[in-house]
Amino acid sequence: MNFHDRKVIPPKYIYLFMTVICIIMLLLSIVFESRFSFLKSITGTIVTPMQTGVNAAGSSLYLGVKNSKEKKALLKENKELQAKLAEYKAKEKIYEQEKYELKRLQELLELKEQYVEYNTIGARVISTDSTNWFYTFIINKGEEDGIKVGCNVLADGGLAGIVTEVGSGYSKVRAIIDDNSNVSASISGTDSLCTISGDISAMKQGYIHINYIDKADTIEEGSEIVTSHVSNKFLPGILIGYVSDVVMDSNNLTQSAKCIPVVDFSNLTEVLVITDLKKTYRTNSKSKNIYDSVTSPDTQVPEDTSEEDETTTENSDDNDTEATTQEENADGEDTSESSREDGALPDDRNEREEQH
Amino acid sequence: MKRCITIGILIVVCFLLQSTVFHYIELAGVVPNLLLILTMSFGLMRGRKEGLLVGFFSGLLVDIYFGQVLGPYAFIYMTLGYGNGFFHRIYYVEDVLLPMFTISVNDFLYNVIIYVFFFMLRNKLDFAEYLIEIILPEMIYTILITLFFYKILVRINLRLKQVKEADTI
Repeated sequence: MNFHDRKVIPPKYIYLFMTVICIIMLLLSIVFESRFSFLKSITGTIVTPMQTGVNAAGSSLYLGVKNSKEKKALLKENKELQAKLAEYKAKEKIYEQEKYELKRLQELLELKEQYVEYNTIGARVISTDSTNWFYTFIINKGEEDGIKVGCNVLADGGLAGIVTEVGSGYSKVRAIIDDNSNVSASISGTDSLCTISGDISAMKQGYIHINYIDKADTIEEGSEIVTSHVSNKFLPGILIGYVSDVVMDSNNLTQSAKCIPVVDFSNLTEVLVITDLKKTYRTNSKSKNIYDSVTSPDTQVPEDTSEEDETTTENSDDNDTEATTQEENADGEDTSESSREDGALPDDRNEREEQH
Repeated sequence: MKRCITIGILIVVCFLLQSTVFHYIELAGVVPNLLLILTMSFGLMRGRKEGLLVGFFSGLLVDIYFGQVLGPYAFIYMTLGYGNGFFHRIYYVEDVLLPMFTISVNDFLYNVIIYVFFFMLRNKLDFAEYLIEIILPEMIYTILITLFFYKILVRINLRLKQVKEADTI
């Protein structure tokens, strides 16, 4: 770099100067987080198209090599699958009938179906974290496609992650296996809650951790783990993975286990983004889900709690640990009576909860 | 000026490769650290000043794109680039052992620093596991890639030198 050769500054002073710059940047970006988002969006807009191009070229090359190898195997598989498809079509008819019956019965019981349909949008993974320590990835859809921070991301029919940053034409997703990720979950079919925390070194062996399972709960290996209804970031009822290796913690109060995620993170190419956010998502049901009415039959469910979002807390805490969310949930139910008449601004609610 | 532009392009290209297509050739779940090779090479070939500047901008790109805050990666890359500059005085164009040695030390230090600041301080103390699962595979893969990539960088550096000499004459 020529311009430095002209006036000779010893490198150690440059080093010190740059170190100071680094520290200042660090502090500023912590204090004024939002001010620096423009920098991210500028680089995002410049780099993302390039990444898309490079990625498209790379993947076509890679797939070209891979395809020629796998063509025969695929042809064979295709035949088998078509036979299976016919079988499943017949099954689907039966399920459709059963679904209709379920709906009828739910209406009878004034319950809304628990697994509601979400608005989704497909996206392509264009780049993944350049360090080997974290697992975040960039997808090629952004603000203009209706993606917001906090949107849930699915792949292979399971939860893949959550959107942490949105720019024009791209958004950044933190995978559930990332070391900073914690997801409040529940074991399917029971109402026992737990926390799924990502771990990059455990993921190399194919699992992530399940923590804080109540010691009274008996968990069968192989049962499904779904996102819980108490989380304020994740929509309820999304499959995360399957349980294995349940052990009692050394504190003798909680159990932990291994969770084998359904998403294959090593070959993540297409994902599905749910554009509904948990905190604004409303079902037009009389009660939020089956568990609420089952576990608390004595609580009187008022007519218009339909607009009640059970965990409308604005805590932007990323790690929604089980303890806090449970508290919030409990409080939320208590305050539901008082806060339902007005628009129930989330901030209002928080204050009320604190007073409570 | 030409040097600046070339290095800028190199940084962006390395970043793009590392974050996109290198995932198709990952081994044992790790990708080689091209940006570190770039930083190391320029520190070695051009001395401390350039090493730290290349490192700073490489790290800054990683910070902006994948980091939660600005600064940490810029600082790590910059420090490593600066450290490599000390080996500039024993650098020969034909030498292959020195870059091999420095990149292995660099990559190890880089990963240990990340481990200490982002993992150990969050009470993830199982260093041996991280060493086996992430640090060692990345080191080996990065060393392997250095064998090829370093040669290309040396060529580019020589060419830049020639261009500069031609300009000054």
